[in-house]
Order: sequence, then C-alpha cells, then structure tokens
Amino acid sequence: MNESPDNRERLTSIPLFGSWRRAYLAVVIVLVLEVAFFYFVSRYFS
Amino acid sequence: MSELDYAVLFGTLLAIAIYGWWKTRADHDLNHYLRGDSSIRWGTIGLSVMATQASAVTFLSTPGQAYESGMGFLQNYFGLPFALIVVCAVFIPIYHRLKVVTAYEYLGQRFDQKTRLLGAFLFLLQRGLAAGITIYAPAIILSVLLGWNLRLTIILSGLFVVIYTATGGTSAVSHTQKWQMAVILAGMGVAFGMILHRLPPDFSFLQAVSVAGKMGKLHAVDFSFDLQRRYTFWSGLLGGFFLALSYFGTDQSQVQRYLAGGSLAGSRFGLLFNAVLKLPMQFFILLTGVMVFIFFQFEKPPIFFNQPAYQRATQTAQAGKLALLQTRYDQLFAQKQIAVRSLTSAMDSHSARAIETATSAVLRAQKEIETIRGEVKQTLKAADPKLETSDADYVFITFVLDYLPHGVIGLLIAVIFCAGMSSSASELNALGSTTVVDFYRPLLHPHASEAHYLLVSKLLTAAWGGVAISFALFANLVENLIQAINILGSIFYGSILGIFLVAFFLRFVRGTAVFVAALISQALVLILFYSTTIGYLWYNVLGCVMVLILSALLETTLFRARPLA
Repeated sequence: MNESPDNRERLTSIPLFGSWRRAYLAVVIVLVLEVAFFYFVSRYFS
Repeated sequence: MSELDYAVLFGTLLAIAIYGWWKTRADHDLNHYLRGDSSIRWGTIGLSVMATQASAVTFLSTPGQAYESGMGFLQNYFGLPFALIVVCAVFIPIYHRLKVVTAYEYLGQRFDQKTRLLGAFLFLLQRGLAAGITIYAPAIILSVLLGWNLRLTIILSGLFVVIYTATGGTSAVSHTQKWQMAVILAGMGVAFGMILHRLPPDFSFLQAVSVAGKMGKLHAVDFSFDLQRRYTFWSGLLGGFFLALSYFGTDQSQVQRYLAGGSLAGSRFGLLFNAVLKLPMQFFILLTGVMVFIFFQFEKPPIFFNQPAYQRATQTAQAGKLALLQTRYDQLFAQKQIAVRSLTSAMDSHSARAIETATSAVLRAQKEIETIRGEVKQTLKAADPKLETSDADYVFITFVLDYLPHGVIGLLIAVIFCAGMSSSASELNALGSTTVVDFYRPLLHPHASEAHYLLVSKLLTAAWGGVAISFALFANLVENLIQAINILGSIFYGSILGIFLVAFFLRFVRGTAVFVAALISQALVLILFYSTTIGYLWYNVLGCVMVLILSALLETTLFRARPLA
C-alpha cells in the first residue's frame, strides 16, 4: 500500500462520519432534504 | 447616515483590516504568502470559501431579485453540493499531491506549457473583469443613495483591500474573511429580525409567508424543461453543477482558499461545510427579500427604487407624466393594501372560496402596479436614455436606509463592504499569484530568489488592484449585477472546466488536442452568447462538453500519435 500523506489521510477515519464516502453521502442526503423542504414551502404556501 | 453609523462602519472595517495585517505582520516567506499559513483550520477555510463567493452583490442584488421575481434564483445552487463533492474527491487530492500553488500549474504538468498558459489566461481575463465589477457594484449603489462621490468610493474601497491583500497575501485574506463572514451573518440576522419587527403587530410571520406564497414569491422549484427560462430545477442542477465545478475546482480565487491550510482533510471539510450551508444561506437571503416585499405591502414603497434618478427626472419635461403616474400608483397601492388585508382575513377564516377571490384581487392589483412601474421606467428612460431602469439592486438598501435604526444602518453598510472586500481580496490574491507563478516565474524570470518573487507577488497583487479599480471607474451599470458576474463566469468557465476534466478523465488526450479544442469551444460559446437567448447557465455545460468531445476527436484523428518508424 502506498504510504503517501494523501493515502494516510484517506485511510485515517475522519471525525463524525468515519470515512469520506460517508461524509459525501451525508452531504447528498442533506441536499435532498433541503430541496424537499424548498419544494414543500413552494407548494404548501402557494 | 448618522455619526453612529459611520463609527460602526469604519470601526468594523478598520478592525478587520488591522487584524489581518497584525496576524501576518511577521510573514516574510513566499510559500506562506502564496499558499497561506499551515495552521489555518477547516472552519476558517470554510468561512473563507463562503466569503469569497458571497460578494457585495449577493447582499444588494439577491434580496432585490426575490422582491421582483421570487425565490427561483435558489435553483442556481442545486448543483453546487454535487460539484463540491467532485472537487473534494477528485481535484483536491491531485492539487495536494502535486503541491501546486495555482490550479494551472497542474495543467502544465499534465499537458504542456501552452495549455497551462491558456487556462491561466482565461482565468486572468474573466476574473480581472469580475474584480472590477466586485468593486464597482457596492460603490455605485451606495454612492447614488448616500450621495457619496462614486470615484472616491471606488478608489477608497479598492485601496483598502489592496493594502492588506498585497502586504499579507493568502493568510491575511483567509484570516480577515473569517471575521468579515461573521459580520455578514450577524448583520443579515439582525436585518431579518428588524423586518419581522417592522411588520404590522397583528400580522404574524406565518401570515407573511402565506401572503408571499399566494403572491407567487415562494416558488423555489420549477421542474419545467424550458431552455429559455433562466432558472429551473434542471438548469440549476446541471448548469449549476458545471458552473460550481468550474468555479470551485479551477478558479484560482477559490482554489487558493481551500489549499491555504495545507491539509487535505482541512480543504475537504472546508468545502463540505459550504456544500451543506450554501443553500440555506441563499434561501435565507432570498427570504429576506421576500419579507421586504411583504413589508412593502403595508408601507408604500417608492414607485422607482433608484430615488435620486427619479427625482432628477421630475426636473425634466417628463415631470407632468410622472406626477400622473404617481397619483395613479398611490391609488392602486391603497387598493392593494385593502386587498392584502382581505386576503389575510380570508386565510384566517379558512374559506377556500374567500381565499381564492381575495388572492385574485391581490394579484390583479399587483399586476396593475407592475404595469404602472413599467410605464414609469419608460418615462424615466425618455427623460434620460442612459438610465438603467432595473432598480432591483436598490430595493434592499432602500429598505435599510429608510426603515432601520441608526447603528443597524452602519452595520448593514459594513456587511456590504465586508462582502465586497472579502471577494475582492480573494480575486486580487489569486490574480497576483497566477501572474507570478504561471507567467512571470516560468517565462520572464525563472531563476530569481524567493525574496524577489515575494516582492513581485506583492507588486503584481497591487497592480491587479489598480486594474480592477480602473475598470470599476469606467464600468456602466448592467442589468443586474449578480447576474452580470454569473454570466461573465459562465462564458469562460465551461472551456476551463473542460480542459481540467480532460486532464483528469481522458488520459489519452494530450496538450495540443485539448488546447485547440478549448480555443474552438470558447469561440463557439461566444458566438452562442451573441446570437441566441438560451439561459446563461447552459454555457457552462456546452463549453465543457464541447471541449471533452472535440479534444477526444482531435486526439484520435488530426493529432493522433504516429508510431515510431
């Protein structure tokens, strides 16, 4: 395994999420929830 | 503005600038100057990235856009979180591994010198122009409304940024942006609270939102496939994705922000912080504009928000016509006020029929008012053909100056200047760095000392400040300032992003093919811009896709590598 600083950072677990992949997934989930909220506001108050 | 407002304004701006200078006073290292201090943490990076993107026009134009057209502009940012994930996963690891100072250095390593220079040149061209607009935008509006001298406002606000950016470099920019963003968020929070406080006492926030919804101001998501519409879910998701990918992945003014800390995790967290918070922040700013709109359902707004221009026109031959229009406007506004009150009563009664009838009456009155405002704009144009009749950029600041208490006015003017200065600082920092790293060092003076490059970096940052100030001095007010910056970016970003995506994903394509493809694509985007009316976000997609396809075609046909004999 390549022990470059980049790979070391990639392999180290990151706070809160565990891995970068999970962090990205969390961002996507938040985005979906945000857009759903905006859509709800648009529809509910129209 | 009172003495208290001036004290708050200058106190805030000076404190932040002095803090930036003090934090970097002992910094005499070229690497620190260009790349920043390795102790900068992800929170500072996140705020710095956010402050770079949120310019003065964000706070002048965006509420005005919501006032006029509702929340549709929000869709512009739907693709941004996806773009930031791609930047985190693909771009940042490469930039860190190669230890580049500018994004274009990577193009030199992956392709060749001419492609690096093309990428850097396109950046300098569009960012150099945008830097001028960034300084011009707050100056024109504040000078018109406050009676300040426009040239003096441009020169002073520009010089203020140039001094701490040129002396402190990347670290100074990041440290000052953290506090500028804090002032911005605090100021906008106070403004929002004050708007709600100024609504009629018997009118709740929920009623305000309901009336805004009935008047069509809360439509934030439009799923139609109409290419002519500027903001739809699809153009925001796809066009916004490409715009954000290009802006965050290849625009040195942003790349320099997230590479500032020196750690891969810090850069990624800083960007993901923005991926999560950008949409709520824009939503909040647009909602502020919508609440100003609701406030002006009860308080009569000026018939034209650029009041000094209107007053000038009343001194011309158009005065009689304007007076007639003003009388008609006053009558219509009184009718609309009654209609809005009827609508709130109908909503309280929960009668669907009554709500429908009252909504129709309000919309009818609103339409008539818009017609009158259209006639006023035509009359103003007749009085002064050079006048810019779009007054959306004046809406929020008019509300601030006319209805907020002293002290808060100073704070909100400080918000606008902080936002303008934070964006200008990033732009000048990036323009100076790119000129030194991609042009001066490799082409003009390859073997000089670090002290020499540090001095040249400072001088070139100051010189770009001079260019931006000069451009601002000779600029004219365009349709809407925030759109002008986005349109300018969209024209060039597609091609630049295309070059980078070819570098990352089409490993078989070499320098000459991508160089020629980028030139052709840029020319085609310019032709499309001048000859069609498609929404500008699509230029990002078209420019990028053309570079990808053309470079692959050219590499496999015209520039195919010939086997050695």
